[in-house]
Amino acid sequence: MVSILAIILLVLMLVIGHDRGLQAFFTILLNMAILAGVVLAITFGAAPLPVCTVAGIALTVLILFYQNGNNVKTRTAFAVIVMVQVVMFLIGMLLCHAGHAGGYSEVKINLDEGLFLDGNVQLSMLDVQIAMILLGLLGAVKDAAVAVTSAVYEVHRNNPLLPFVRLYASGLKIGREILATSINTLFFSCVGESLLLFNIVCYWGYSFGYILNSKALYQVLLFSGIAGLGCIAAIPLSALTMAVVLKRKGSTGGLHGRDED
Amino acid sequence: MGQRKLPFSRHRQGILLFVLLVLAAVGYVVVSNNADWYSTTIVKITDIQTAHTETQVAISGGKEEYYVQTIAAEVQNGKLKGSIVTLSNQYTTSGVRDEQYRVGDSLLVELGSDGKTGKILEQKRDTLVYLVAAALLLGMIAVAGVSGLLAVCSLAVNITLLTFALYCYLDGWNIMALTTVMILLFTILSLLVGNGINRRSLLAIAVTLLSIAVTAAVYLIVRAVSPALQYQMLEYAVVPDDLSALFFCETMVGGLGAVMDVAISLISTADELLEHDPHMSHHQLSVSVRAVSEDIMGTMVNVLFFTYICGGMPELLLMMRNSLTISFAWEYVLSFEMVRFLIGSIGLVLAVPISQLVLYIWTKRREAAHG
Repeated sequence: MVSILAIILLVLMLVIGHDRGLQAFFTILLNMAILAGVVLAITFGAAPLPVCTVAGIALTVLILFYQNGNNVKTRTAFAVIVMVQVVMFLIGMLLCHAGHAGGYSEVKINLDEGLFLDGNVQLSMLDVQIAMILLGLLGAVKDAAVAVTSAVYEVHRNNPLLPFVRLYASGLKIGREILATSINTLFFSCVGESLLLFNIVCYWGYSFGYILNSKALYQVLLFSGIAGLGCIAAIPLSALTMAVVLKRKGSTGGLHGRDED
Repeated sequence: MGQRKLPFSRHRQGILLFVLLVLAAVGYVVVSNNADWYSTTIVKITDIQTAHTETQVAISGGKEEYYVQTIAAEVQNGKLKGSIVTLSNQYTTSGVRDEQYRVGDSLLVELGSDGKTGKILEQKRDTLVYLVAAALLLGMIAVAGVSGLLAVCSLAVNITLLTFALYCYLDGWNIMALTTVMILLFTILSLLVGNGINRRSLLAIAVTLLSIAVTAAVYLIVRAVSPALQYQMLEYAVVPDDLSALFFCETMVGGLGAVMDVAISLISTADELLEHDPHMSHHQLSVSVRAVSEDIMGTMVNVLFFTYICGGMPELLLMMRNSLTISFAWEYVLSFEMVRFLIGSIGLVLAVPISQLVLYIWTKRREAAHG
């Protein structure tokens, strides 16, 4: 089933997106290769957090510079993504530690799910959770950062004399549109993934208080919530950084805007 | 749009944000002291004594340490408020099915009949849930202003709908019929609340619903011709229901957000172009739509990829560390995440030609109406 769907997707992307579609498909394949590397490294005993840091940087470089080319926009976006990831790493770690978000949730344990798996795995499930939250938000943060930096850049190119404040404001304006749609995507993918959980909750009649405090809900919320927060943080940060970069370059004068393509 | 209006609205937004921030802070204090709202006993850990109990051999050959925490905790609510209970908790270094509690954590417990001991049910996480939710809401309003507020409203509407749908499901509604109704309502309400009642929203609703319908057809055809997935291994799959149907519904709802986004982005672009030049030919419009779609397609597919695949990773790693084969892990974890991701991606890619089609029909009809 997976292979048939993959072929359908490849054909659709080729027919509809042409070269860019093919490129997007290859990016996904490369992403999968890197994630497979992460799984293998952790399986053979590497610590999850360092492995995911390396993989995160590799993935960012790949999806950013391969899909969008190497220019002042993507270099700025890269800096923004790294900054957001560092901040989100700290927030994510704090929240995961405070709420003990690793491992199986109570709901799963009560259902005897995954009972055949041995718990003696010599691998901190808390670290795994933090690492995966970090990798999971990469897509959304990159989306926001690229959209905002490109928009600010275009505004600047069309009107190089625009002051810093106006550039920043135009970045925020685009960011607003991106934010609502990104949050929407995250919300529905989160609901789609946890429909069975909600189903179980209703079916077994867990109380509202039990669910509100459960690890099951907390894991779902953290995963999508931190991606959302990353997106929110990326928007003003990208607008600000891009405006600073352009204005600093602009003050040195000259035709600087032509280093793409 | 006017420059003179800007300082005023920014000023007003600042006040609104400040008020919300104060409200959020008050809410935080209330939520962190809400033990009286619970009928379950809540305790706060005051002291922990940890003892190493045993060392087991881990699957990979290393050591897995087992510890037992003897926890002294103060009861926060109910008749025994203020008294101290003793709890016991085992944890391991990996923490697959257990946790290492710390002093200061609040727990929900079931007290024994003597009122001195108890069984830990779970950690009290409502304060943290509140914190994440409040940060998201405030962040959205701070960054996006009015459109952030609208996005928050549409989230609230969707959550209400979802709760309502779950009640209907428990009431014995057919899951396929219910999902169809829900997808209709989700789409219509999210787009109308997020973008207002106008031409754009209506066209985007049409595109989204058509795309989802075609994607569902693709899914059902592929499912019919390929071997069944191991649905019993689906996460939380312990309900006596048709799991293949449940998974189908999950997948469709999961892809809905992405399809909606592509639809509204493409339709907004086309509509903006039409506003500037009402006599634009359909061909020109189609070219612009394609240019925008090429920009967003790759990134949206990426977003779906990371949210879905990373969600399944902890379980996958657990299996790999249990020395299970890759093919086993593929069959039992990854294939589900891949199907979700692929169906979502197919949906959003399909939204591109469907947008062009809808725009074509609409421009033709408009031309016909104008003579």
